[in-house]
Amino acid sequence: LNDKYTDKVICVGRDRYDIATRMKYAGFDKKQIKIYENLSDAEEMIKEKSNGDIFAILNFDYVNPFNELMKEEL
Amino acid sequence: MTIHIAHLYYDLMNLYGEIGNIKALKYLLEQSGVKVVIDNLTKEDNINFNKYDILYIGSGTEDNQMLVLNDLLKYKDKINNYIEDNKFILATGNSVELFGKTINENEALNIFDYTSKKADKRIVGDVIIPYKNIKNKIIGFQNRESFIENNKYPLFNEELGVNYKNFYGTYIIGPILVRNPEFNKYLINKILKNKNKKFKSKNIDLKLETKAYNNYLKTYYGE
Repeated sequence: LNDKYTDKVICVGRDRYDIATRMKYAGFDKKQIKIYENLSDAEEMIKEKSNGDIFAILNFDYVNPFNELMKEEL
Repeated sequence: MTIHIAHLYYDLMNLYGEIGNIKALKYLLEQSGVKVVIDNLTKEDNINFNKYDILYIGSGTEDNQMLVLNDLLKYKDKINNYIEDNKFILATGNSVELFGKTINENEALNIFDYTSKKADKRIVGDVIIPYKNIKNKIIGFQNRESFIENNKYPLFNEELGVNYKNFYGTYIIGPILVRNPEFNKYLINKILKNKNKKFKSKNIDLKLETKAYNNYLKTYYGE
């Protein structure tokens, strides 16, 4: 993931800071890591402030909500 | 100042994303103001112990653990001297077993007196345990099918780890250094002082790691 084509990583949910820490140690700059408590808080960042393809790595409980959120974008 | 790290058997003892310990060591050391050189070494590579300030070894399958043990046995005296010389070893997961007397019926490095045996059932679950040298408790995870006995040098407690001089071995995975910024900083300070007593470390930003640590305890344990 950490290459010139990835402009940001969006970490959402109850383990958001843990995931963000791992992204930091994977080499992402602090400015590239965006942290949100839930999907609705992250919606604007995902839909309006991201470019190109979005790759989602989701826990089971986030699959349906994420698909619902992105339905109109597909 | 340069700190040289050997990531031993990086390709054989590579379960559970434990390479995160190397990344966390590297990050904190660099933030402290030192250069870090990491050598990834494996079976049949020549390990030049004089070159390294830190040796790290992670978790592996039982088969790989035996492959590694057979390769490591030839270094037994050198590893013993390395430990007695106060140099650092961090061993996580089942690699801690390599340094004991036996692993089941197999002779291990015999640097410490503990023996490891297969458990009746797999030991899996969260760990939250105090550590005398830091304020915050250690958090992490266990996923193993063996245990150690006759551990004279406990780290955290007799079951979870071993600490003698600057040898730190623990069954705790997570990775422990990613999830426990205070413990990582504690180790880094010891490593830097061991290398150069006069070294002045830069300030390290651990806000995100600390938030992750606090958020975990609050979310899952209401602490």
